[in-house]
Amino acid sequence: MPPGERWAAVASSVLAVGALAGVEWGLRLWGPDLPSRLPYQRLVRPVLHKRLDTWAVADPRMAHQELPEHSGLAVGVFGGSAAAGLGFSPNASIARALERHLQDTELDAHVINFGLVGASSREVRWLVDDVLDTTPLDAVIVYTGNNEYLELVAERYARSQAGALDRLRLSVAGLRLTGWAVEALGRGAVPTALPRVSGAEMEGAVTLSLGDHAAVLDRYEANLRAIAQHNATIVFMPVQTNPAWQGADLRRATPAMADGVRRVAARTGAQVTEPVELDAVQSRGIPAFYDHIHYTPAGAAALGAALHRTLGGEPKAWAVPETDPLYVDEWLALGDGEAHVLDPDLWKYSRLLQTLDARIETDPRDADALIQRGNAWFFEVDGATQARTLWTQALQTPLKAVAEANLERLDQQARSRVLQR
Amino acid sequence: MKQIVRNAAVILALLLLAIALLALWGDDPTLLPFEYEGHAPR
Repeated sequence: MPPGERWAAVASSVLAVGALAGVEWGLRLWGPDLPSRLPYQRLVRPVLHKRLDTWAVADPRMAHQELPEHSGLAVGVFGGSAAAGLGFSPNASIARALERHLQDTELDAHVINFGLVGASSREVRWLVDDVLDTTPLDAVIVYTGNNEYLELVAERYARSQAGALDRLRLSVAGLRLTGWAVEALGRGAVPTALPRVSGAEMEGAVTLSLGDHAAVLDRYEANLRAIAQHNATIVFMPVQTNPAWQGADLRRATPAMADGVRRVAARTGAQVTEPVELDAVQSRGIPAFYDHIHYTPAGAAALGAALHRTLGGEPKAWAVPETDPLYVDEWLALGDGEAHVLDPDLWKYSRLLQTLDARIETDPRDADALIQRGNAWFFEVDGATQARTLWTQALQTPLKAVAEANLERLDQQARSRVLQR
Repeated sequence: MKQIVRNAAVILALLLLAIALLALWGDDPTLLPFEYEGHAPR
C-alpha cells in the first residue's frame, strides 16, 4: 500500500473510532440508564397489574400482595433483601411491622413490600417510578444502599478472569452503545444456571479506586434525589450493619452512604428515619440481625416501630412470639427456634419449605407442616390454590381451627375481589 | 479528504453492524456470565 493510501486508511479508522467514541460518551453523559448486567437485578415491569379494582404485585420474587384501588392509607417499602425481609415469612418484614402499627389506628392501611433481593438504588428508583406511575401512594419508604457495588465488582471480576478475546467481548458488551442496541432490538434470553461465585471471591480479585467509590456514591445520591421528587411523603432510612458481625466486609451500607442519605433528605425535604440502636435491640433474646445486614423479626419490628414514629404514630410494643403463630397473618417462619432464626444462611426460608415438603411427604397428616406450607403458598404469587389444598387437608387434623381460620382468610380475599366486581 | 470521510463512514457502519449483531446473537450479551452466590435460591 502506498504511503498516501496507508495514511488515508489510518485517518479513516481514527475518524470512525472517534465518532463511535463520541456517541458512546454522549450516551454515557446524557443517555438513559441501562438495566443491570446482573440478571437478578433486572425488574419485571410493570410491577403492579390490575385484578378488578385491586392492584396486585406481578413479580414472583416479591410476595403476593394486593392494594385496593381506594385504600385508606397506602404505603410502599422499597429496597433490597434487608427491606424485603429475606430469611423469614413476609410477616417478618419491615413493611408488615409498619402495617401492624398503622392498622392499630387505620384499619384500611396497606403497606406493600416492594423489597427485591439484590436491588440497588437504581432498581429501587425504577420500582418507585413504575409503582407511582401506576397508582399513587401516601408514603414511600426507601431502605437501599447494600447493593451499590454489586454490578461494578462483578464487571471488574469478569474482566479479571477473562482471556484476551473474552476481555474484548466483555468490553464491547459493556458499551452503552451495545446496551442501547440490546434495548432497542430486543433482549436475548437470560441464560439459566449461571455459575455462582461468592461475593468474597469477587471482592478479593478486584481493586477499586477512590474515583470508583466517588462515582458509586454520586449515582446513589442521584437515585435518591430522583426518588425524592415524587409527590408523596418520602422517608429515607440510612442502611445499617450489624456491629457484632465478624464476617467479610462486602462494601455495603458505608457511612458515606448514610451521610449521602441525610444530605439528599436535607436538600429535598424528604424525611429520615434515623437508625435505631440495633445492637441494643433484642426481643426474647433474639438480636436485630442474623448476619451483617439482614434483620431478624426483632430487627424488622424495631424498624417498623421507628418508621411509625416518623409518620406521626405511637407504636405499641411488639415482641417475637415464643412459638411461631400458625395463623397466616402472623406466621413468621421461625423454623425450629433460635438456631434457625440466627442461622446466617440467606436461603433458610427456602430450606424451611423443603423441610416442610419432606415432612408432608413422610406424613400427609402432619398438621403443623400442612399449615405452615399452606401459609408459604398463600404468600406466593398465584399460590392460593396450593394453600387451599393444604389447609383443606389440615381440616382433618388437630389443627382444624387454624386451618378453618386460614381458609376463611383466603375466602375473604377472594370475596373482596368479587364484591369489587 | 472526501475519500477519508467516506471510508470512515463505511468503517463506522461496519462497527455498528458488529454491535447490532452482538446484540441480537443468542443470549443477552450484556449480561455478566455468573451471579453472586447468595442472590438466588439454592
